[in-house]
Amino acid sequence: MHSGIYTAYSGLKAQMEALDVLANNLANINTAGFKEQKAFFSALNLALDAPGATPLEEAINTHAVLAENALNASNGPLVETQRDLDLALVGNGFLTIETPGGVRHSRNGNLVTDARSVLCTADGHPVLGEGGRIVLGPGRVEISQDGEILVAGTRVDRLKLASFDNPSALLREGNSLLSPNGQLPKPASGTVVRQGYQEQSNVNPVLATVRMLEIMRHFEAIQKSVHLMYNEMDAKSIEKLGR
Amino acid sequence: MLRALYTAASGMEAQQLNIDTIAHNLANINTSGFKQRKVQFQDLLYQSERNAGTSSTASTEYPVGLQVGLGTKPVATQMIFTQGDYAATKSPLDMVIEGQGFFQIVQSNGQIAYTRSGNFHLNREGSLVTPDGDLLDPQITIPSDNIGITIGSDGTVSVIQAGQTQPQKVGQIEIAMFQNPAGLQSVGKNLFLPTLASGDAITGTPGEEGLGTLLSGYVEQSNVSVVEEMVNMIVSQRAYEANSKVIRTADEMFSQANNIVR
Repeated sequence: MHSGIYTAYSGLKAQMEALDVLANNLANINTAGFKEQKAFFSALNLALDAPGATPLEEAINTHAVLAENALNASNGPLVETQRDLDLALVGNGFLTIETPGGVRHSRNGNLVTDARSVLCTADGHPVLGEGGRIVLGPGRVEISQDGEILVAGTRVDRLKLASFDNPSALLREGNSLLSPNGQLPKPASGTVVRQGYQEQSNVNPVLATVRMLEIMRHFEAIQKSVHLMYNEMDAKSIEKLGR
Repeated sequence: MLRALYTAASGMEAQQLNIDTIAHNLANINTSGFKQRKVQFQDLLYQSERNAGTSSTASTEYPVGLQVGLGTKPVATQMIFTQGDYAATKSPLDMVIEGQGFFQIVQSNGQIAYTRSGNFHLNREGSLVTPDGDLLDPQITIPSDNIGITIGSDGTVSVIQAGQTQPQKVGQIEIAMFQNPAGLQSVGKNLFLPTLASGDAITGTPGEEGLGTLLSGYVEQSNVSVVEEMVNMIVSQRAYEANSKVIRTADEMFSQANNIVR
């Protein structure tokens, strides 16, 4: 059996996974603060570890696999909502969220208050300020560009904004939450808070559609090569040589 | 291997809910005191195939992981409590609350509900009622021999009775506010009910802090913006289309995979 068929299989599998990643990007086109994931392929060389492998063996044993998906951290477009508790973060900062599983981070600034007037996410997890949970009393909430929270003109707290050296390594947990995954959050400098705005997802539907066509055509090309190997070469050799 | 199909289906379902909500907003464009609804989405769970930070060799780590997301889910339909426009009606019993407050209404089952729609009428006993006939709380009764009704910005209801020149106070309107109005439950007929999330009603006379003042002779129109809803509708339709294309692409890929062996 030739190894080409396995190389092709790894390619087909990698393209399918790339479509899975793309489908998730497009499904979240209306999720506030969503960051696109970009799939990267890498070559896995199965012959490199084998003792005495020849350059030819190394060349034909290279498999394509989906290796990683990096976060496209660019800012999404801002949309005005006029809601006092909609916050958009301009820059590389993240909100700090308290969850039962520990501290998490989010770019989704669609916030609410609970019955005890604690500022929290749409899921009810408290959003942390520098002094812990933020309790908003009655009155108009104003949040300045540097995250200072004023209720009816009185300062309450300041939003705890975090930034990371490598945001791509943050673990996505769903529900718009990212887990620090061992990285230490640093205070975000230069992140501007815009009150009354929502950051839309940064997925570009046009680029995603082009990428989708590309994935499909790559898949088709690999499928053709498998077809050629299996139906033309193998089948013919078996039919003709056995005669 | 059918992840892309279900992921895209979750995207299409989300856009359907989005369109449902836009339709509801547009249908209520003439409903007094109506507040615009907006669907909020979050990403669904992720399958982690390789975590960032795990060892690639004894001394190095993968800087970036491989996580495949499984789509989107709607998490809330939020009410946007911005003030609507005012329309003059010339009826003194129509009122706008300029602020955060709600009128208190006694439903036919005795339960108090809350509304932003200040569109009131008199019943045959002369009491202020909603167009559905539910009483305003506290109950206010207007004597039938009046020649003019005035409602002040602080909720004082006074009438001038026939044969008199001085206005006479006949009632005091009280309004309510909530710590978290977005947590109120909509029950239709312009009414809201309190929930654990909204907190209990804080009542007071109009003009007290945060409650807002009354403006008689006007009704608050819906705060739905037709232009904004149209734009949302276009975005939603295109997003639906993009997700349906993913389904078609995934389908074609699976069909090609099935055709490898003929």
